[in-house]
Amino acid sequence: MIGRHTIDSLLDEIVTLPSLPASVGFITQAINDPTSSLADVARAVETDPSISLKSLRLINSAYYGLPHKVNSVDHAVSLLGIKVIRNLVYTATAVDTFQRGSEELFRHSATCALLMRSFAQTPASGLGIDPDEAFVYGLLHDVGKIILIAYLPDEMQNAERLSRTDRLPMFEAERRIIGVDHAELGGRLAQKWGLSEELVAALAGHHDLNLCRQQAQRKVAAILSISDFICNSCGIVSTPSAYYDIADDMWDAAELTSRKLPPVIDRFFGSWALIDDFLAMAS
Amino acid sequence: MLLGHRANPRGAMIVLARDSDAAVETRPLADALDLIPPRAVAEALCMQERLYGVVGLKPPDLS
Repeated sequence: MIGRHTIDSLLDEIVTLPSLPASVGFITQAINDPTSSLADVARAVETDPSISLKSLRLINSAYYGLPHKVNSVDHAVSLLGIKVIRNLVYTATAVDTFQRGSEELFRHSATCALLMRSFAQTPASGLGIDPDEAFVYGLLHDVGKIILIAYLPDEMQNAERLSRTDRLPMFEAERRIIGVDHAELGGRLAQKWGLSEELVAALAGHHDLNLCRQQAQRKVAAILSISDFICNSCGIVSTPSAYYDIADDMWDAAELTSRKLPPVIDRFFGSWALIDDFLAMAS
Repeated sequence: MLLGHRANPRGAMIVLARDSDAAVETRPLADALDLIPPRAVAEALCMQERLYGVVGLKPPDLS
């Protein structure tokens, strides 16, 4: 049993955050370099066979619904553009990371990804980010849990027990047992990986809006938290026996009225088959 | 809240009791969205899908 930690003492003494594969750093660098050509980006992606393969499987999945099969990364980059490829690489990296976690956690994350995409595809929701990018936010929202489960399995079991017996949300139980919750840790991981400031803020803040510095970040983090809550309400939970809840301030911060929700949820259930396609593609 | 199949326009109804003496009033959820908070809407739609939907969600344990 460990004592309660701050995020820094946890990272100094117990948890070593995994590095982003060097190839992904190389790809990100190529994508962010304004002098890179599409061919340069394709070559960078091709340096990692695992990311290349997953990217091609993603491109050819029902998620993108392309009319023709894409057989090369070069073709994919020219067809879809750099922005889509960047999200594709992040998604493929997240899939690699989740293969170290539980099946429930991966399904919950993929479901949350689809719901975030549904929010982004429904302009009235006001999410205001690209649907593919929103998908990555949902996919990564609980990535901190993988780290906690890997390094602190006993403490996470205790947190799960506390959540169930005291009817506390899992993040609150983690704070009481460990001193840090999965959201803040996930934000640190995204920061270490060099992901965007917006994504870092959304991951860190999806259970504590005070960790978001800007109003726009608070709104995205709140919608991410609501997506998490809706997935739990559907019975697609990441921690099977834990209690779940959502703070009231999330609804205000998300600026979501009751009228805005049904079109999003209809779209979400209407594209449900994509979850199994995505999980099959990732396995 | 009364829930039934989603395909039915009256598949989700809210029951309103204006005061203790009056008869209750029922309204389709879609016509009463302004009367209930977004959290309740989300939970109602998820529960409706779990009970009567087609995507194959696990039904809640009501025991």
